[in-house]
Amino acid sequence: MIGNYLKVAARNLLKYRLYSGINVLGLTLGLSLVLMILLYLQFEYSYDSWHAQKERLYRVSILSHGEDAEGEETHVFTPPIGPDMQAEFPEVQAYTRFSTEQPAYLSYKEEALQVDEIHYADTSFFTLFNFQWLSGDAETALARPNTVVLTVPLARRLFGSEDPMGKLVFLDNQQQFEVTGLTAAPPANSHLQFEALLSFSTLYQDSERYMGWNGGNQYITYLLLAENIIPTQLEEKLPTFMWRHINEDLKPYGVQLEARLQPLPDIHLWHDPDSTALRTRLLAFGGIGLLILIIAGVNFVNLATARASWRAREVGVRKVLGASRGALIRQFMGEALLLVLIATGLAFLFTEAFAPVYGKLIGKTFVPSGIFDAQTALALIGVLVMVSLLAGWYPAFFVSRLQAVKALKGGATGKNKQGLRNALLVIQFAISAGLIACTLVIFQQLQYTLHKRLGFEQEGIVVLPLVGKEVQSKQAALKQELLSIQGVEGVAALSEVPGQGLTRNGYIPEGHKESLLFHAIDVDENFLDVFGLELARGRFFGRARPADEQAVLINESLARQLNWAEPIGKKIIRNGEHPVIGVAKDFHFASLHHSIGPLIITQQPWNGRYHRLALKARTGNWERTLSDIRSRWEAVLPQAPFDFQFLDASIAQQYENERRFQEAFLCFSILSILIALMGVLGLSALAIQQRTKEVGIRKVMGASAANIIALFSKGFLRMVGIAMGIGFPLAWYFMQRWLQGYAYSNGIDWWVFPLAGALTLLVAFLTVALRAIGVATKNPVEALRYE
Amino acid sequence: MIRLRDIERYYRNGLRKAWVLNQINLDIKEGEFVTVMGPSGAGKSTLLNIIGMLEEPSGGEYFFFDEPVHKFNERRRSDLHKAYMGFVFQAYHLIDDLTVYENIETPLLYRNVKGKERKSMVAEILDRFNIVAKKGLFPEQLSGGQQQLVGVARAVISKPRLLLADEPTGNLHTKQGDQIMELFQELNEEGVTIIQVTHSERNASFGTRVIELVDGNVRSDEQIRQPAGQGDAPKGVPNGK
Repeated sequence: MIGNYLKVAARNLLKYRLYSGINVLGLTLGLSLVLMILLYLQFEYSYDSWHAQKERLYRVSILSHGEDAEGEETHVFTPPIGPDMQAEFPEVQAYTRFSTEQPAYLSYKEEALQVDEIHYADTSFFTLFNFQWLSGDAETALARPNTVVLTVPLARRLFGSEDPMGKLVFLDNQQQFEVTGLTAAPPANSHLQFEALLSFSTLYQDSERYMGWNGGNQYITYLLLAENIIPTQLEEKLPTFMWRHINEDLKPYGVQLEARLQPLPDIHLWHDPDSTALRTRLLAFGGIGLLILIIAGVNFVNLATARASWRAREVGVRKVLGASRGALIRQFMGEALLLVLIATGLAFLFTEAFAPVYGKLIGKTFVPSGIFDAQTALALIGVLVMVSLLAGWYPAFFVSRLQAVKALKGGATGKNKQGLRNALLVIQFAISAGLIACTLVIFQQLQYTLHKRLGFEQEGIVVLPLVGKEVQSKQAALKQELLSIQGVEGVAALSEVPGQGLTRNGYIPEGHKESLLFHAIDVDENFLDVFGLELARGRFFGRARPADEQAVLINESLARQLNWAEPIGKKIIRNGEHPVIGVAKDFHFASLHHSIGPLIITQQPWNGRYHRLALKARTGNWERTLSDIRSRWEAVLPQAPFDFQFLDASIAQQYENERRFQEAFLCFSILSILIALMGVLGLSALAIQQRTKEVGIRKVMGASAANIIALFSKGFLRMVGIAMGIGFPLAWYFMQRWLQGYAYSNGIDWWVFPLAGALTLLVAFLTVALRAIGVATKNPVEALRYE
Repeated sequence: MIRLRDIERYYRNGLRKAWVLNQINLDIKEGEFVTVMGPSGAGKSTLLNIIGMLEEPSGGEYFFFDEPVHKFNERRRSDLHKAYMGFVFQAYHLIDDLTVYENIETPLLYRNVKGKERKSMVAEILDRFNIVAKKGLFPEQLSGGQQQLVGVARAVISKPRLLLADEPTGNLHTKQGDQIMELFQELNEEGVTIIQVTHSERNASFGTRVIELVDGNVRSDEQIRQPAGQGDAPKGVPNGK
């Protein structure tokens, strides 16, 4: 029986090549996209899920309740909270601390490398987390001060073929560390990333470090709870704990800190700075995946029902020969399943082949075979069963219900079925038109973001990171050298680069009793000129004016926030009094997701050292200028590796995820439209085939080719019109919500929907017309002879 | 075998009913070879479809081996149909995507006949109908006569007690038609009851009884020959079931 079905199915597939081609190809494409999206979703959901004790691991986060009622949540805090919690709560079995990254140089013999992901970590780090350990003793490697664990890629760069174990490396040319362990690089789906881990105990030997409760917020604390502990029960005890250790002292400042526990597997999706955007992306991709599945499924159902009338005779015959409805349903379902299986097989090959391209698009490395974990496999099976059911049920149930006698007469093309087919087609086009519109809006917003004036110069500015004490201390000399290069107009030293967000500190402005959080940037007197900033009032730091050392500038937003009509001369307190000498016009020092916040510009960097130099040059030959910069750098700092970034590029870099998102979205929507068009192609081909005789008669009666094309296009185009009426409002709604994620946007431009509409109509028309032209230009006698 | 009482069939056409069959009363015994004749639109095919349980009458009673078919649901009707009947069509109605062999085999598949037995049954009938050489061909590769031969083979492979044929020779040359009719006669002599619808007097002459339908009514009903084996004692033919 099954053999018989398979034979019929296979012969059918081969006989109606266009139909089966469209069906299989459309489904393959659809499933590949769904697979790829699943792969991506799986990747994002798999973050930190591979730690054996993940259920018991938590990150401590701190929510500050200050005068500005809504506090900011951060997981970067002071060092003692972990040890104190372990000491006071039996629920806390272990803790480990991880310092925020501070780029540094590691050197061994002649080789010096800048390492961005270098952190201090407790020795318990490797017992709490399951990073792949390759050499050394995981439990004790970071116990002693001045020990370091390297990842293999870094070790290889630093040591070449030498065995790094037990060797001594220098940190910023000052401190010596012994290599006590080697691990593999952390997997991409780990929110903890590191290249080198220094022992945390080293920090306690550094007198410059403040390791107490109040200050020096640079550390992230992870807790391993004892078994069967409900985290909320522990959280309930935290307020008194926090009161004892810090909140009592903070009371006079009006700030209270609330400690919370973030489950490890939730961190990536819920507690990262990028989490909100990520969830939007996941939702968008999940949604597109579902839509693509619907489009591909609709194709399948549509083509199958359209063709079902052709097979009505077969159904009639089989019924007369004794086929029960069940048998027929099984047959049609089986055929659908066969197609789905073929498409699935192809989709896997397709996905495998395109994984690298896709990875580039999304910015991740995928291993397609990685999809075979239990959860994803289950999801996939679910998807396949759904598609088969979706694709098989309509023809299966409806054709099998036909009365044998009617089926044999071939009178099975009912009007109502046409209705369903049209409704499905409308859904398809509504999705396609909506996706086109969304793509345009996303494109428009990204263009806006990339080209919006930020209030400062971005072009022609080169940023040189100053890593390590030694380099930072030679900043002034380096600056002098760089200024002598031809074309260099100015060099400024600064703590952070505007455009990518700035740190916040607590300040007490004049007239306030409690401290408020403001963004802060520490710069020298050249900052204004190099970045082309404008002042609203007052003046900037003067050259060689020691009196200005304590002075600060504020931005317009801060002046507004403090209600200072005349800010010049007011005082702001943090480690002493700072007079305001000027107000800078607002500029976008963070990404356009954020509105411009309050900002203080000081001349006093932390520890007295600036971390970057920004160099502005007007030059026709960047290659030459850069090599000049390099040679000056090497002259002043022969030990330190040279590194630079163009400011405009690094600002654009922060929209990298969005650019990727846009590209992926564009690809997905183009492909989904392609799949929908394949369906239309198939349907119009069937319609044309069925009406060949009609076309012949019309032509004999004098219809022109254009008349015939219009005849076939009209119906389809009307449906596309209806579809746009459904798709566009939905697209508008979702895009409106998406744009709310940006503090600055243009709204949705008026031309988006007309353009999307024109595009949709055009491609739909071309698809139908191409097929219709063939019939329309044929000799009518030939058409009639078909009968 | 078949007892029709006041069988009627009409279609609603707005408020009016269009009658296709009007109070048909008919008894057909096992072993008969009945020809239903009449002009186009007389209701011949409808009557055949009702007897073959492919169509439901609008009213009246239909007893098949004394079972009240008119009271049965679709499933039981379909079971009866499957157990007792074979169908031959004017347009052959072979499945295009199946070979001769597979077409003939199909009814057995729906009757869950085991593979080995199926093979021998198909082989036997291919042999009997002289179409062994054609078994690998597809319908479109055969002439009309050959296709109808396959159609008959497919109808009788499941050894039906009743063979229904709707203009079985309508698309064939006289010579091919005669061949089919001779085959029918042979089957009838073997005990298969046959009801055929035809326009052809010549075909009618092969049967044992001719019923003439006009405008949904039986105009005449005459026996033209003694049914085969009628004289003999019925060979264990169940009378009730």
